[in-house]
Amino acid sequence: MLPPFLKRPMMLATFGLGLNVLAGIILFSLLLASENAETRVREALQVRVEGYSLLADIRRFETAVRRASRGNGTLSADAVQSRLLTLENALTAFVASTAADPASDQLAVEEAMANLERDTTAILASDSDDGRRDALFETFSTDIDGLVAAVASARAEDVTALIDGRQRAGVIRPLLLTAVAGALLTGLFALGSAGVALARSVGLFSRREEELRGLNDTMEDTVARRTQDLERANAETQRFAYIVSHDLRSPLVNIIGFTHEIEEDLKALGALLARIHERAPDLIKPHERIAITEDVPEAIGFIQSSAAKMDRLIDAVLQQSREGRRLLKPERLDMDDLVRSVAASLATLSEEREATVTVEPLPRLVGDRTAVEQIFSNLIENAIKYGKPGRPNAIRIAGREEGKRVVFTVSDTGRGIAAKDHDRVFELFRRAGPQDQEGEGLGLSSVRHIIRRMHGDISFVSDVDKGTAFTFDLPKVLSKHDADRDENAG
Amino acid sequence: MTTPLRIVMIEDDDGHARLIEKNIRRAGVGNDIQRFATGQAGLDYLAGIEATPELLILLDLNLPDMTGVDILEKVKAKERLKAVPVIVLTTTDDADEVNRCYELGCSVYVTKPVSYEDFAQAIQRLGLFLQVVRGPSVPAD
Repeated sequence: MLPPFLKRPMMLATFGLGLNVLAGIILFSLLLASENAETRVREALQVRVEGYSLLADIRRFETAVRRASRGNGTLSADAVQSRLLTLENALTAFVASTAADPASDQLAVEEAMANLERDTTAILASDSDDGRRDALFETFSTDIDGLVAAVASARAEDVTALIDGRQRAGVIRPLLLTAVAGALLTGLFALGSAGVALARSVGLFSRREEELRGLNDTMEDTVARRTQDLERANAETQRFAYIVSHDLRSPLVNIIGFTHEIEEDLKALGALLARIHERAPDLIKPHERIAITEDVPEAIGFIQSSAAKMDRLIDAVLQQSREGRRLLKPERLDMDDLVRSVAASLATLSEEREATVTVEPLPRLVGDRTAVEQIFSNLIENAIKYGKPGRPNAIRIAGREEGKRVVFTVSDTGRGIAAKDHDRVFELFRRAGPQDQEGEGLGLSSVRHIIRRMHGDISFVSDVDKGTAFTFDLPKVLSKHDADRDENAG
Repeated sequence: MTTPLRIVMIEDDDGHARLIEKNIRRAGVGNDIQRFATGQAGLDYLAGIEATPELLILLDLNLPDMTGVDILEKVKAKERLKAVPVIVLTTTDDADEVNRCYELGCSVYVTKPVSYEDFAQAIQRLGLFLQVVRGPSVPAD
């Protein structure tokens, strides 16, 4: 199993490059080390050269003095001085570059040179038949030998250094070669894989770009078609709701109408019963009497209340259907004004329920007045209605702009909605909590319907006893396009 | 001498027809009521009348075979029937429909509300209306 990083070309390239960098660092340090060794070797070589040259100078001086003393040539006092000076300088320089302790060796040099000068002068001053000549030459030779030895010993040291240097150079060279080769290979490898990865990604990218563009177009088509489908479905639902509610209303008219007729007819039966009771009471059996006076009226009562309820529900459905089919008319809305007047219209109710309504400054928007009024009216009314008895209900309405949308919140400190009911409350005809309030359970369903129609959505945060805060968003500017589109759908 | 006003009711639902009739009678209006359960039957009848009778049309909009609006249109298109008052009765209170009916020339638009009192009242007011419009009608017994 390959480790994951080896499978991905870019990572491989990076790894290769990293190796290359490492190799480079190693190479560089090796180079530095080898350079040092090189330098030392060169220095040693230099010393050797200088040493040989110095030895040659010393020997030449010796030869010159001996010759002059034998009368083979002349060596003037100045020539001797200048030669001695040159020798001394060369010696000094040599000592400085090779001696471990140049200071003391320098002293030794000065001393040696002083001796040499003295002895040279003595030899040159003496005659060939001077008996002291041999002794003088002896001393002179000792001086020269001394100098030669000094230079030679330095040379010995430098030979060792040379040998060491050679050895190190010997190790470094193959190491260097390996490092170079390795670095080159890694470099090539890294470059190669980077190149492949790049080529691949560029190649893929250009293919992918085409694919993406193609997909994008298809997606736009799909979205357009789906939107159209949705709108058609919506229109159908509206029509359906309209027809259904009408067809349901028709029989309802009969049910209610004829139960009334029965009531009227029951009066006649009641009158008959009374007359029989007057004239021939024992004709009436108890259950017959009860049927007329109690059972039938009770039955009528139930039928009537159910029919009335059904009527209200049908009304609600019709309302939503009507609202859904209504054309949206965008207009400039001063939200502060709008919401304040909605709150004002609910003033009596809010007083009754000990609720206070605070409207914060709201951003303006362009939208359908009726729809927006309906949303706020529903939400604020709910907030007022579902307060907690005994606790003042503080209702607050706020809003803020967020890009192309405006987000509103309507919050209260009422009885709240239990977590388990959070889905129910939006359903048509469903309510939550103690059912002590008037209403069919329409408000939130229709509110959500309206908001969604304007491509927004509504949500809330709430829990039992913790109050409720609804948040919903509307377009900042309801486009005419949205309004027209609905016309086609409706 | 004016011929007694004949009421032509075009209403498909038997129950509604009966309720309407009962309430008309309760309002003291005893005139003849001709009831038709389909739009076509009503139109045929109206087409077949020779003389220009004194007519009142009670029209339901939710008919099975055609919309009441169509009938209204056709009635108002006929020279003979143009002057006949048409009272539209229906369960719908759709603003568009109401407007359309008024545009086409219906005299009165009465919604059949489910609240029976309102409905009954409306019909009875109709009776009064008939009396005002048409002069003395045949009293119901």
